[in-house]
Amino acid sequence: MSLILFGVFLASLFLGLPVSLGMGLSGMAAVLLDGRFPGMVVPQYLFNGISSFPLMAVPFFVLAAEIMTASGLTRSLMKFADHLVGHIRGGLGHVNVLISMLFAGVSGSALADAAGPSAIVMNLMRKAGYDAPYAGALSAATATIGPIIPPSILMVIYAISDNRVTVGGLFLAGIVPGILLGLALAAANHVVSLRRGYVFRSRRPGLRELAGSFWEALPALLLPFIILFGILGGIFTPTEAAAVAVAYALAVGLFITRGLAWKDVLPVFARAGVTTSAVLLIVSMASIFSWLLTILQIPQSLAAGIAKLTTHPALVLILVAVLVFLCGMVIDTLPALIILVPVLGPLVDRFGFDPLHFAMAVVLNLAIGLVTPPVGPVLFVISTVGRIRFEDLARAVLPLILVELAVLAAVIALPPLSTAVPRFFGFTR
Amino acid sequence: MRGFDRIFRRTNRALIGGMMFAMFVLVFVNVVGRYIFQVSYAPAEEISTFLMIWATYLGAGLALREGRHATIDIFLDRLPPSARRTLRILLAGVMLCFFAALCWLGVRMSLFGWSQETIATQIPAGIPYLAVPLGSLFFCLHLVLSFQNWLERRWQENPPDEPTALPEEETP
Repeated sequence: MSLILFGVFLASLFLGLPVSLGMGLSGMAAVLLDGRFPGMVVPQYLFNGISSFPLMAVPFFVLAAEIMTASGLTRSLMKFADHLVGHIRGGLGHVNVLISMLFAGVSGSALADAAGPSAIVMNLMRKAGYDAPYAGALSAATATIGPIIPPSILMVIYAISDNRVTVGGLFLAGIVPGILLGLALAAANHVVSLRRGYVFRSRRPGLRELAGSFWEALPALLLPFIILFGILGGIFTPTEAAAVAVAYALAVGLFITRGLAWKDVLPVFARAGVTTSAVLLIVSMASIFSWLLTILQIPQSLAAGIAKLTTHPALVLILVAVLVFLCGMVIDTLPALIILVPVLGPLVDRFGFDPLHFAMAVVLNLAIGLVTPPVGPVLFVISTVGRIRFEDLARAVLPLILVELAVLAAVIALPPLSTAVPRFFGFTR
Repeated sequence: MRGFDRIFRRTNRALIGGMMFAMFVLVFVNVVGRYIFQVSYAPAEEISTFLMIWATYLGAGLALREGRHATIDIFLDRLPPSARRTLRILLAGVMLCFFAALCWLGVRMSLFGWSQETIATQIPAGIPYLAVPLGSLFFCLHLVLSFQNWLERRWQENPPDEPTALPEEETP
């Protein structure tokens, strides 16, 4: 049975079947050929896998970001970022980092960032004279901040797959690592700009101008705080907070910036619906796959295997990091998360890790997996949007991946980086 | 055929948009009701969850047309055009078979669930279950209707509404 499951999965993945369908197909093949379970369990697992109210935070976060962009707020954010750091050496590179951090507070996904603001700054960078592969690589690397700074779709799905952590706790845990990631990439951009002689400053804006762009961007800058305070204050569940974020985005777009017309509302919902469908189909199809993994006792044997190799908690963390990184290299991020979480969960209990620290290390690791070749979804987006050859992009992104890995190493070595903020607000999980 | 295709696509989009909208309204109104007026509509959670599942399955075909299903193309890209074409025909066949089987299993699940009631709304559980077979059917229809696009990987994009440049004078 495991042979069918993995054989069909890997073959279909390699040949170019969509990842979600690869998981569904291998799961269905395994169930039907094995014969122990009636075929009806397949649609049942697919249905129950996404029959979850907490999961609804995902479509709502997608919606909020779509509405914000349709209302022209992404543009305001970009102008603000440019006014803040555009006049420093390597200015547009820093704008690229900062816009990803700001946009991360609006959207929960790296792909949305890569296809939206990051791609726009990439084009500006190229026009200004940066090498195309470097501009693309920086845009890809900064997009990984999206799922680390709250809100985050990856974190919502992590917390649903593993009840050792909560969405609120994970969101808070991501704040410091997200900022670190931004600082590290900005530092890298500084070094590259010095070495390659990129100057390209834009005009330094006056205080008045800066205040103006801040005021315009303010509605978008407030969104993450509304979500966080709603969840932290115990006022909303994450799903409800996400729905409130949608209502807020609608109100801002329709009445404050007036960038959104009434007739555009339904198309925006439909567009967000299609994105949601692609994301949740992965979650749905992965549920049959991960159910079969538990039937085959893969998680237990893997945990036992690691325990046999070493019992030193620090070494276990490193082993896990290597394993997650390798998975992130060859599997898409979301499927990797859904498959890995039940597999790795038992290790948390066995070695007494802090669940938030462990989860943060895994999420950050998988986010980096978004830009690691050969399978890096963000790299695909950037190479398509920017018409940069995948090989060139992959080569240019390597040093930036090393920088991100340094941040990952810090997050793994220093648990307080991820646990201090949630602790402060009373979240231990 | 082209006329049917257009109507089908539009109806499908409108359905998805409507479901997402209804889902949002249900959850949001319930939040407002609970915290401001201390009244809540208990089945809202269940109905909105079902709507999400329906939108997911009915949207899968549209996502296919827009090339939104994450795929690893590395091997495919290295094949000569004729072999690539053959492989994509084969993949389309695999997807059709998969969703046809899923449709069949889903119909059986719905019939089986017709005698059970859902927890909060107490409608036959077979009704929400129909999302899976119906969505599978939609997916197959979309695949057949846009088969040529699938072969050539010509994705139908929504017109992007994102700004393509920084406004005014910032562009250096």
